[in-house]
Amino acid sequence: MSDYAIQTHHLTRYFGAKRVVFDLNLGVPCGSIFGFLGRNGSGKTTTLRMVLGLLSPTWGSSSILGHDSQSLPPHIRARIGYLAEGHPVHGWMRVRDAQAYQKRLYPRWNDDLFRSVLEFFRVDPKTRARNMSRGERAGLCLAMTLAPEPDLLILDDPAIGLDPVARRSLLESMVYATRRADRTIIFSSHLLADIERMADHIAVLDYSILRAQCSLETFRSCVQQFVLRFEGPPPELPPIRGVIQCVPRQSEIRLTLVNVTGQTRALLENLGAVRIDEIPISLEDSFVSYLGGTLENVRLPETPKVAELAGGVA
Amino acid sequence: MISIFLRELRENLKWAAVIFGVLLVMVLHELRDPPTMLLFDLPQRYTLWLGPIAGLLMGVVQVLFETRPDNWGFVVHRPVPRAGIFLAKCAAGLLLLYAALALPCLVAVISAARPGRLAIPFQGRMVFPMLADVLNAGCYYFAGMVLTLRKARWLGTRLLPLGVPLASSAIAIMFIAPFWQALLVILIVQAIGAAAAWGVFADNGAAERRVATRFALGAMVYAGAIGMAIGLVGFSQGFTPGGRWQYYQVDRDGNVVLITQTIQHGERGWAFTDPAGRPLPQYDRVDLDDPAYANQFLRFNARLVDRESIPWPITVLYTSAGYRSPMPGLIPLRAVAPAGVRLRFSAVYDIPQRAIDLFDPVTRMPIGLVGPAGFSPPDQPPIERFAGTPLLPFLQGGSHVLAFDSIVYWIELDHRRVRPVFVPQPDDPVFSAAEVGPAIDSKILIATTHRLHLLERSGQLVWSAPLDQDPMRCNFDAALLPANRHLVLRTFSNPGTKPYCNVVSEYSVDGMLLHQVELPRLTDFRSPKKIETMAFGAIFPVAARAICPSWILDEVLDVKTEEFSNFFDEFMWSSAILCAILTLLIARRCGMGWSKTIAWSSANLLLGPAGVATMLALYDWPARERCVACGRSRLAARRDCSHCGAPLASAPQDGREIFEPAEAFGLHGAALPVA
Repeated sequence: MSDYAIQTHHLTRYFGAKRVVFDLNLGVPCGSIFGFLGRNGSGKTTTLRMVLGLLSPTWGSSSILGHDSQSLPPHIRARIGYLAEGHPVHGWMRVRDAQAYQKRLYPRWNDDLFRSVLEFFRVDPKTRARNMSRGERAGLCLAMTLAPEPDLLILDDPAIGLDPVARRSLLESMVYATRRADRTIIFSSHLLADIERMADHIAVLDYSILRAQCSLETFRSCVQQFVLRFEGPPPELPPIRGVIQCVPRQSEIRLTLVNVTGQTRALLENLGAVRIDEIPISLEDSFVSYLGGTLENVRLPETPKVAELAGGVA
Repeated sequence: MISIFLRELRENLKWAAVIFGVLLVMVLHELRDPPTMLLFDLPQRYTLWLGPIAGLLMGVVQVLFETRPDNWGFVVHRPVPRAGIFLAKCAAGLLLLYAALALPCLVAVISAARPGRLAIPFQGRMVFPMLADVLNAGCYYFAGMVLTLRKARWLGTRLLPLGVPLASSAIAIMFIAPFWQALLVILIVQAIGAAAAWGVFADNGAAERRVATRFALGAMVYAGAIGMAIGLVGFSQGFTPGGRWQYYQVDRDGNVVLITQTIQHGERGWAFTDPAGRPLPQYDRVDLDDPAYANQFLRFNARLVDRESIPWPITVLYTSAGYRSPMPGLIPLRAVAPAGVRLRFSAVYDIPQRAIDLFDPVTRMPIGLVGPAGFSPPDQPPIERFAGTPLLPFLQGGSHVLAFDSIVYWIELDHRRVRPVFVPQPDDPVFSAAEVGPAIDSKILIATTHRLHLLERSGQLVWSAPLDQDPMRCNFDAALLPANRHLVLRTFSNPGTKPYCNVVSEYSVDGMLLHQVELPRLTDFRSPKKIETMAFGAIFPVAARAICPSWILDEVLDVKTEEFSNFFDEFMWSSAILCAILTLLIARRCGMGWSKTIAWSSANLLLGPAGVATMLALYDWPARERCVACGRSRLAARRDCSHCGAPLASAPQDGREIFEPAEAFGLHGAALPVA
């Protein structure tokens, strides 16, 4: 038995001329809660679909629970809970219809778990899915995903479109689901607060390419922000390895860097700054800087003065 | 799987109810005052088009939910094989579709089978047309699934899979006589549709993994491409500004007239010459659109054909010999009483019973049977039955002549009897007989294998003359000249037979052959059909040329491939060679291996432009990018460069990478994949 619930090898997918996932080598450790991060269109959903055998890769391979993704037998699928993006559910079904339908399909169906998740989301069992609010539908979908007692839970952007209360409920349900130590959860999200609260490991996709795979702590420690203050206008920066964001201002440069080494620090000190401050950075800021694009040597426009504005209006 | 089947049933019940309701309303409307041929009229009026619409609707709505990839993932990510999910879905869909269509039809059948509902005897074969339509809906059901799920442009190839069910309808309805053959065609088309639907369902619209399903999808797309090409060629002819056509007529004096009709900018004109091309001044002012000239030419109202000589598909197209026609079981008899005599019953020839059934038109109850020995009441079997199936039942309606190969009868149903008028020699059986001349003073024209016999209605022989044409190669039209009662016989070669024959013969009142004119074949190179035929040649597959005779194409598609065969073949071969070259280029562009390239090129040499369209529909146009090793354009979706063989470089690193060793994950002895 592999130590990884999910493994991919050079997984690549093209849609026509568009490269969506490229040369992805990913390992999701068994028993981990794995946050899958990336901007819209970075290839998270495509990766999850390929891993589940719902989409064939252009090349490369993947395995899930030790089986080739493209030929998953039914008993392995029974061990994988998948909550697709957008919380799909048959609209005509009432909650009890959905329960009865799912129960017949899954051998390890847990009625109590199903009911408790629904109660947590305050879903009326008589309601039809099409008449539910987004939060209620998310609750129903999550209940349907958790009740089969899966060994591996794959949640594709589960909190999308939910209000903060529903999102919190969803996360708490997921926490409930992690009570089993041997259960692996992989979920993709844009919401860093959710990742921070839930995940112990993360992977970051940056436009089809895997840029990071590490524990949350490692990621946090690897992304650092410095403010370099100068007496006059800041100089042109030489190429510095690991710069992910550079915001020049009148007499300072705010630099966000990854994998800062002693060599990097020495390079910064030689820039002629009168003062170098390392400032704390939140995970969300780290992530935004990490994936938000490099603004190297880009000066933000000066804020117009009030008098100029008034003159313009006059 | 059962739970998926039940869910599909529940989910799509409403659509089945709509189909059922619509058809039931139509059937009940017809049942208020049912036509005599109710069970043949219902398919023609309703199930023929409602079946396909219902099938298409059910196929589309059943997979509409799965068109979104997330929903599709939700449906197929189950501890059930994907094939099982598809089977359950199809089983539920087809069950609902067939039930929704069959139950109203069953109401019609039960009603028709009750005595007193229809003035004809009920026969089991009457359910075949409706049964075929109901089953044919399944072909559209799978096509609906394919065109909904398949990822293609709506204005591109997405609708082309409809070609196969449309072809199936055309074949099963228009070209096939026995019901079992129609059933076979429907089952084959359903199997193709099911395989293609399975392919697109299993691959979420791509149909890229399984060879058999890809082949089935290709067959569906190809049929659609061919159908669309034929439609476009036919449609383009609507824009032809004018044209010229030539044909022969016989005037009321028995002279052959060659008519040249021209249409220029909507204006029609005619030129009249003799067969040698000499103008006929007496026709200078004749306008054939003017009703005053409606009787300018002789009307041939009697046709003599040997049924053994009629080739397929003429048998189905024009002789009502198919399972959708009442003819193979029943022959409605019309004009069976002398002028001025009103019959108080309707009559049909019951082929299985070999007797004429009489029905009360008001109560629609049987009155009795007429056989060769006369009338018998309905509760008694006929004293004697007829010899078998009448010759050419499709020509019988409206005629008093009831012909068998061993005897010919004159029908006198006003006396509830038939009267034998002619018994042939045993070695010279009758192959056809007809009533010829005006209704009030008609005669009986009987053709045996070697002779032609003209009889009075009483059965008295007027004359008998040798028939110098082979009835297995020719068919005959006959008329009496109004002035002198001479018989004019036009002899045509049967479709597909050679040499060409078009002869006009005139017989005197005592059966002497007065003169015979052999008419040359008309080939008018200014006919608009020439361009249409050439255009049709450009789209016609070479593979079909060997198996589909020209005359069938001419009959079915209304072109002139026999007449302009050289042009047709030149265009067909030129197009085929172009298609093969184009396929070669496309295949190389797609990065196919040489064996696959040659296979596709050879196939498209035989399949023509529709084959190229199919190929483009099955393969995505390949994306290309520059190879970092050799700098040439390489296929993006292939790991190794097709020019230099260098593998694609790994994902570029920009210094931002954060990867932890496996130990940091608490995994001992396991290597974490490294990007």
